[in-house]
Amino acid sequence: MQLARKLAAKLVTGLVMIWVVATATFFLVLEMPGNPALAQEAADMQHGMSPAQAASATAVMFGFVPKQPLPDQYRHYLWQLLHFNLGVSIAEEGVPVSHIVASAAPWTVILASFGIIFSFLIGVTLGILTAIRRTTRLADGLTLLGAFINGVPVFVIAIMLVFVFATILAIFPQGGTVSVLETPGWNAGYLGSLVVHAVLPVACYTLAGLGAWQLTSKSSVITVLGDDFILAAELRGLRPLTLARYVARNAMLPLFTILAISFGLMFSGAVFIEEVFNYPGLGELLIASITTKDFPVLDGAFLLIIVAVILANILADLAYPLIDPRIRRS
Amino acid sequence: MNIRRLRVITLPLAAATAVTVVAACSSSPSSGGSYSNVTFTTISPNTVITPGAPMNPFNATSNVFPSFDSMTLAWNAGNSADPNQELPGLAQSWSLSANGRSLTVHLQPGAKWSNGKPVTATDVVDSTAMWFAEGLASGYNLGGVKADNSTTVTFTQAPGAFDNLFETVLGEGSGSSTSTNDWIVPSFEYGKLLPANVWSTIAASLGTGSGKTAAVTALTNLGKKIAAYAPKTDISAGPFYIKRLNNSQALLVKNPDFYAASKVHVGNVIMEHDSTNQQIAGLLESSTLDTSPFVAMSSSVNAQIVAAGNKKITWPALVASAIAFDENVAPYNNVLVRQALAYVLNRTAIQHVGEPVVGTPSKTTIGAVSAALPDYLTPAQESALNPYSPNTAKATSLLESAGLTLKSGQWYLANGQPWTITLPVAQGFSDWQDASSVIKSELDSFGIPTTITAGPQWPQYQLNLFAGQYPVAWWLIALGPGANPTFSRIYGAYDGYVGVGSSLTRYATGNAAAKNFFNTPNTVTVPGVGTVNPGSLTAKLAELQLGTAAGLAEQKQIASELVKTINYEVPVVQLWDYVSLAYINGKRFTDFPTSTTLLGQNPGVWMAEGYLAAK
Repeated sequence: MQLARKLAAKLVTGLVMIWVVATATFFLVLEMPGNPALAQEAADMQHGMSPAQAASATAVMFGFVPKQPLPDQYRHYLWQLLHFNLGVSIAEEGVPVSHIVASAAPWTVILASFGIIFSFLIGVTLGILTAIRRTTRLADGLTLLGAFINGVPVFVIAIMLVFVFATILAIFPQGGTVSVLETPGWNAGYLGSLVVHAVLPVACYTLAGLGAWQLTSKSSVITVLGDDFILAAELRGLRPLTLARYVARNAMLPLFTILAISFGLMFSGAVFIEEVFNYPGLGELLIASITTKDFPVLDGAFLLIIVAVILANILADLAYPLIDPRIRRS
Repeated sequence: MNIRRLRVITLPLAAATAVTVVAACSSSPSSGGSYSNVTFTTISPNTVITPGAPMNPFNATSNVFPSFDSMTLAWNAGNSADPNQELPGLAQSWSLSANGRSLTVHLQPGAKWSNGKPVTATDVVDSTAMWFAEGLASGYNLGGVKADNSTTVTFTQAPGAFDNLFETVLGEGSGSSTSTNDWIVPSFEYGKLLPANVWSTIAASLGTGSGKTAAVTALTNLGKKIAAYAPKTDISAGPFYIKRLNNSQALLVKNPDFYAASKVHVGNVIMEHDSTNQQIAGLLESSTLDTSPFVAMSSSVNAQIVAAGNKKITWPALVASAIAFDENVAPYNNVLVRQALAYVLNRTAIQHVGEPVVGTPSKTTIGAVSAALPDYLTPAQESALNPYSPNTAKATSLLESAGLTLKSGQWYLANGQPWTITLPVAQGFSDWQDASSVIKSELDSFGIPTTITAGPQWPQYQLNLFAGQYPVAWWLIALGPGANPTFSRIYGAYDGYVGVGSSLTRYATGNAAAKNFFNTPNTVTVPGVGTVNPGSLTAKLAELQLGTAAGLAEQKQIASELVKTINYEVPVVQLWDYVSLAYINGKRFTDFPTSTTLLGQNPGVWMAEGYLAAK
């Protein structure tokens, strides 16, 4: 009963937060300088069209640009939102935003979830290793490596991976999600192509997050190792496995918070990674919709991110008592 | 212990990855028809490949590929002087009436859609109605079209208007662009979108009667409906049709019903889409692409791509960059000042920084690309043009003659005010941005302090220009093909001239009817030519019947006068002529075309003409 009340309170708070942030986003996005038609015309010209061609290509798009007064647009937006209708795209001439966002989201989820899991597992493993062996040269070297990787901007990692593995060695595709030669379906060729195309972006995501996990987990484990209850446990002669469980449960708490938020934030897409690898996820969608001033798509993408982060926070709050008895007792 | 655990985790992962890599690398090519195992890979920098987006050429963001699956009647050959030079598309031949007001087009015999149904005159008539609905046809004074028989159609000019039907009806569809132009779509698929009264609505929209507004509104709404229409499958009359696509690639397979299918020696085309030059360069360097166009190229990237085994091919682009002046603003209303600036600006140095790979310094200021000069001038006339070779002493002399003074390294206007220049650069024009740094350096050194400002995106930049906000500005000139479009970039609507013949009217800057920012005098006196009315001459170019030798000869005469006028009057300082650039990779294919006419087209046109064979 108490849990249900707590859940209901959190959901109500979450809904209010969604409304506040969606409203702020709606007005901020519309206040962005420029307009979709001019942006499209400029983009067409940069792709080689003559000014006249670009103007005629753009003319028809005006039919999909909302023209009502701002308050009316806002009321319409909220009303449609209540009916789970995110509107239609401007740049993609009438295509529903929900379709565009839903098409992009799975690619980001695949990329980000594997990236988060791999970077978490490898980073935390290395962090624990460096914490336990903190007086050795190996630990020093790994810590230095972790700090270095953590400091390299993600787009540099992405470009280096493309340059080495796609351009020079040509053992992985440069971008995209799957070879169009493969027949879609549950067959080895198609699934293999999906994996091969995901290797470099996932590796990039993993490398980008690995250093932070390693350094954070090292710090967390070292802190726990210095606690009196660990010393007491050692003196009591507990088995190493039991000791490791003690350390893990306590060191896990700060990491769990970061992990939960990471999963929530993954819907914001790995903007640079998706851009460099031409991976059509939410990050690339955000960039494209900012470039084309596609306000409805921007609103839709932001809304998804907001909802995901709020949900992740709610789930994390609800999960804390399960992994930390102190919170449960309080 | 921890290291062992790590191995336990990573070894299976590595094994799984290896298995999937092997599985992916062993994929089989698609099948179907002859040459089914021959796959050509190229790139579509303009079309954003989007699963779910309509395969409808009238949709601005559609999944269509000009010359591969989307067809026009003809492809613009890019001839600098004669826009009638077309490459056949769905039209096999065409002829212009004696008065130049109607154009009869004969369709390719045996032309079929990819479902086996024939391409008919009805398809062309219905497609023409859609051009009107999309706002395309009225823009070039098309009046209507009728089917003469199942394979012949006749286009007519709008009442009271005259325009070049070859250029507008046939030539709008350039094989190297994806703009929503004169696409031919199947009537059996799109015809249902057209209301029964569409032609009476079009007629009303072209007239001046009371129903004009309602007709225009009805056509606009029809245009949106057509643009949003999404056929379930790709129905192509071209050499290929879309089999499938994903977020970054499209697979097109050979259309066995294409009218020239026997000439096509490629079974599949993989169309890549990558959004950045970095990605296109990477694909070229890894030899993934058999050919690719490239826009905005740096010398170092060009060197890397060529070093990776790609061959650079270029052809004139029929467009040039220039610095334009608003002659309503002093001192740019003085021809001596404009000439002086032409002597100060070193075109070679500016182009070297601005467009080192896809541009060549203009020979001089003429309003047309240098490659088109032989079309308009004799060698003797060409050599008589002022080349405006860099000469600051000459510039100083001209400015002093114009009443300007130089004090302590700073030029002062006749009214005593210091002369400064602010040069805005439209957003996204990185070549202009780079070149502006050289211009600033040259003008600063000469005594005209110059400021480079970041302007808005091109459409807004133009609006600011038309509103008279930029006395000195970057401008694109010499947009061919044909003399009228070329010189209209200076003495057309941008100088306030709208209409042709007796309806030619001139508007002032700020008038919504025109886009006047040049504000040149109505008449000028040009040494060796006499008194010239450049706006009137330019408008006259639009009335010439370029289907005849007499029309072409008259065009040459008028164009030569305009070239000499621009060379003397310097309404712009022409800096560089653009060059179109593409790369071909000969590892898998041979027999690429060599003529610049074909190189300027998309590879679908090459294949329809019988080029490209697998090694």
